[in-house]
Amino acid sequence: MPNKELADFAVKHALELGATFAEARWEREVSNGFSLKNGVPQLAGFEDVEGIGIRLFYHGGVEQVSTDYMDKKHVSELVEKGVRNANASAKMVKEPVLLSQEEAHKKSYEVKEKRKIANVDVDEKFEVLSDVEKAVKGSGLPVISRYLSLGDSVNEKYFVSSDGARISSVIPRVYFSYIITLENAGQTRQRHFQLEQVGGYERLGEWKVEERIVDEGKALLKVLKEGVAAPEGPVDVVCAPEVVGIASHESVGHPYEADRIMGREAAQAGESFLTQDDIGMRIGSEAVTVVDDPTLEGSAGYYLYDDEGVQARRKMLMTNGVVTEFLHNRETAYRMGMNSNGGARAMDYESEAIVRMSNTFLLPGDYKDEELFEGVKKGVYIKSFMEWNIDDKRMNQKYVSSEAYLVENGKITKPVKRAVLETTTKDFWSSIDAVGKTPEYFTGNCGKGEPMQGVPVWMGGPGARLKSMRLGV
Amino acid sequence: MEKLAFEAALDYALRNAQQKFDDVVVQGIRTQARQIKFTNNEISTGRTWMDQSVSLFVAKDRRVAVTTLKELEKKGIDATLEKLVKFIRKSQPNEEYWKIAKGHFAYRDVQNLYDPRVPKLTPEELVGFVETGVNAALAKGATRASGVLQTSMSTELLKTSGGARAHQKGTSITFSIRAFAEKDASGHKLSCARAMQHFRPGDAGGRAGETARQALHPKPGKPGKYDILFEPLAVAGFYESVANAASIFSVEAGLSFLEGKMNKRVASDIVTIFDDATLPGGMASTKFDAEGVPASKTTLVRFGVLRNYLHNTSTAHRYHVNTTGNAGIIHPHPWNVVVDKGNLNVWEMLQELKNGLYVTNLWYTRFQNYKTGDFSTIPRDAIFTVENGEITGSVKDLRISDNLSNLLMNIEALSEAREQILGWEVETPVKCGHTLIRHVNTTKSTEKFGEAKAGPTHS
Repeated sequence: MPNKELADFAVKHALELGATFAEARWEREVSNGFSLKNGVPQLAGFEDVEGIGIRLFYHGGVEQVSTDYMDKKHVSELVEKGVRNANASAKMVKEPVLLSQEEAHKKSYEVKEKRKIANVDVDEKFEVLSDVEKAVKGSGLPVISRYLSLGDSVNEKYFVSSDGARISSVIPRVYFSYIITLENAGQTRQRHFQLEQVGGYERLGEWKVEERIVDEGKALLKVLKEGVAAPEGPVDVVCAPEVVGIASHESVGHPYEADRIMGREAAQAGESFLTQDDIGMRIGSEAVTVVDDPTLEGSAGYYLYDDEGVQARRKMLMTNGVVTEFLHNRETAYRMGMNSNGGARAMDYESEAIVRMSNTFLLPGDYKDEELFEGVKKGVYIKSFMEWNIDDKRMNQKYVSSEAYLVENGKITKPVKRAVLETTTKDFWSSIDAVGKTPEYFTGNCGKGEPMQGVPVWMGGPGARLKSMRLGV
Repeated sequence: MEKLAFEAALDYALRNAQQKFDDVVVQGIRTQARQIKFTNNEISTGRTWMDQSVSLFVAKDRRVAVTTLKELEKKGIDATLEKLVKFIRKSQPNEEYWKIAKGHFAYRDVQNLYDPRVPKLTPEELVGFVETGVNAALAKGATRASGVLQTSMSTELLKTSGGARAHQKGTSITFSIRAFAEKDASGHKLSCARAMQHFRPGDAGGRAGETARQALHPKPGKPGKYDILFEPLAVAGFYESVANAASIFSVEAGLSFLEGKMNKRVASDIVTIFDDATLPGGMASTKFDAEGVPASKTTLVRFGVLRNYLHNTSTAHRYHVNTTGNAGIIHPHPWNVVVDKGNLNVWEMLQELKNGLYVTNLWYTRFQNYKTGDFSTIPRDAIFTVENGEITGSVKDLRISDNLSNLLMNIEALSEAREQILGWEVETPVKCGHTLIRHVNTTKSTEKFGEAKAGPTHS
């Protein structure tokens, strides 16, 4: 039986057994991975993984079953187990899970590759890594250790639900990441950076990795050699897009996930400082609008239909500083009495589709980049970060600079050794008085769920100026 | 299309791969697993997994590659091997690779890794465990509890061109529960076991509920240096970081604060840490590593002094030592991290602490520099204040911002009782007890200057 038909069969079989709702997701992912440690090729490999995940509702219980045994016998057995398990679980369900009513789309879409992954051979992929290694070595920078990774994948997916939805997609993607260590006079500095986009190997040319890694190395060496202490007392802080991006992801995206707000992630990724009644609450200044948008072309978090078959769209999370929309899947949308906004994602066929971000970013404002610094008598410009974290309600966050500079009388002057922005979500977003015009996006691998699901996301926005902050230590 | 039985497929792949490559490892794992996720005292979903995977490692002229077999039939295996031949041919050699282990290995059973009762548990019995845990939390004063119950059963076969023929089966049953007495008052506890006699969901639920109730009405914490008594769940992540830093791979990649510290002091003299693949009932205990080398116990830190890095056959060859049985063929890794016990009970440790904080859980540990060990992490769930050896209240909103080397050097006491920790924040199992660390640096979000502190307002 062809594997898409196996998904159709799974849904049909669940309904025959008395399920009130069923959906199935068949996925096949073909991937390649390569890495270089200090110039030495490490383990390289390829995979071709295929499986099917099924969710069914039965007598108030919900069960999700998955397998990579791609035959009718095993799928049938699994669905039957799922029904038995759901029936047992119903004993501890007071409010059965129900789903918002959504249009049952029948769509097929594919991300095009200008340079197809399948046409790039193994030797060329090693050359990409070797060229980056050579660029670092050739720069003469004291980069004492390097770990470089390159990979690609093509994900083929078919989703079917008993509501009548049928979505097929093909999404290729390419990634590159590095972690480097520089040393000067017994002091070291590390930098981790990753790039990822949907599409083909044309992306590598666009990324200019060799140039980027050497530029970063030079900047980090300057920080090591010439870095001064961060100023004490009130300073204006100009956050570059990388810092704006992580703050958007951690302190806007995550706390706006409706499943966290309702406690479904309490023992894993945590809850939220927001409650479901907080639509309309002011968190930030008028200058601040943060969105999550899976439809951003080429992005790491790109999709047009989510893993419940709901059409993707931009979500206006915070509009002019006010909470305007949460991230939803069909379950949370039903509980809050609305429609899903297409935020359900699963890492793979054996993961459940939960509320996730895609590409979360601050919308551009009116300021040219240089204007963000104008009028800053004493300040700090944080260009990039290494250490970061945020509490599990998403209120107290910390970013420690990788690359930062003093700003004196509107000009960037000396490098700063360690700028620590340790602040609350409210203070961060309400302190922004100026937002730049030019957005940039950065890749992350967002973790949530149990077992942990890592999904690719972008985060970003333009630079932003925060007035009168106290830096941490 | 001739479909092969599981072991026959591994044999066919090994036999044919050996004709094309210098070294071959074939590993097959079959798993059945179940999870029940509960939210606010109710089951939110169940999960059932039924999978098999066969991975294939090959090396030829120091070119190494790995893949998985999708189809367990001759034609599919042949096609994958042909693809591997082409892949390897176009690869670059790994000059650090030597070979996999060779020999006729004898494997010793590790106690309590398989319990036939686990796969026979009915869906109703599993729901009963969740109910027991949640009710225990509520009985101790929690108002709601969330978490997961998970069981698994796996069989594993490993065969190599070096002569290894290994197999094992294992079970596990774990319960993770986070109980809340109010939004800012919570406790999180685990019960991690390979066999039913060690599984105690009611105990975990009760302790989580008790911790949540005790943490009611936390006050904002004040940043500064504190002596801190860490519960096992909180401190396990530190010990896991030590073990990860002890992998020779981390050392070479510039990701270890233990680089250059062999035979030097890295912790206070009461600290002894092992990696122990043979730990009875250990959540990651195993009879063999990824090369088929019999699993063993390796001293990482003895009385505060670094004694060993973790190796596989190739890395051991380069450093003129013996493999520690920690393959990962490229990336040696720890199995179970075991911290030697101390001689105090928790009450005695509180007296030893006298004044300070009692931290029950940590999360979101991130390093600024893996080589120096500079990091921060966030206490989650109850943080208790301790005065004159007594718990006097709870605080919130603090962050630990320090250096891992400093913390290890400042360990002053360890409890006699230990527990196994494996969970969301601790991916390598750690067996450890309560740990008292002096002079731990804490920070918190800075107060804003200037205009009135912004708070949320409804517009």
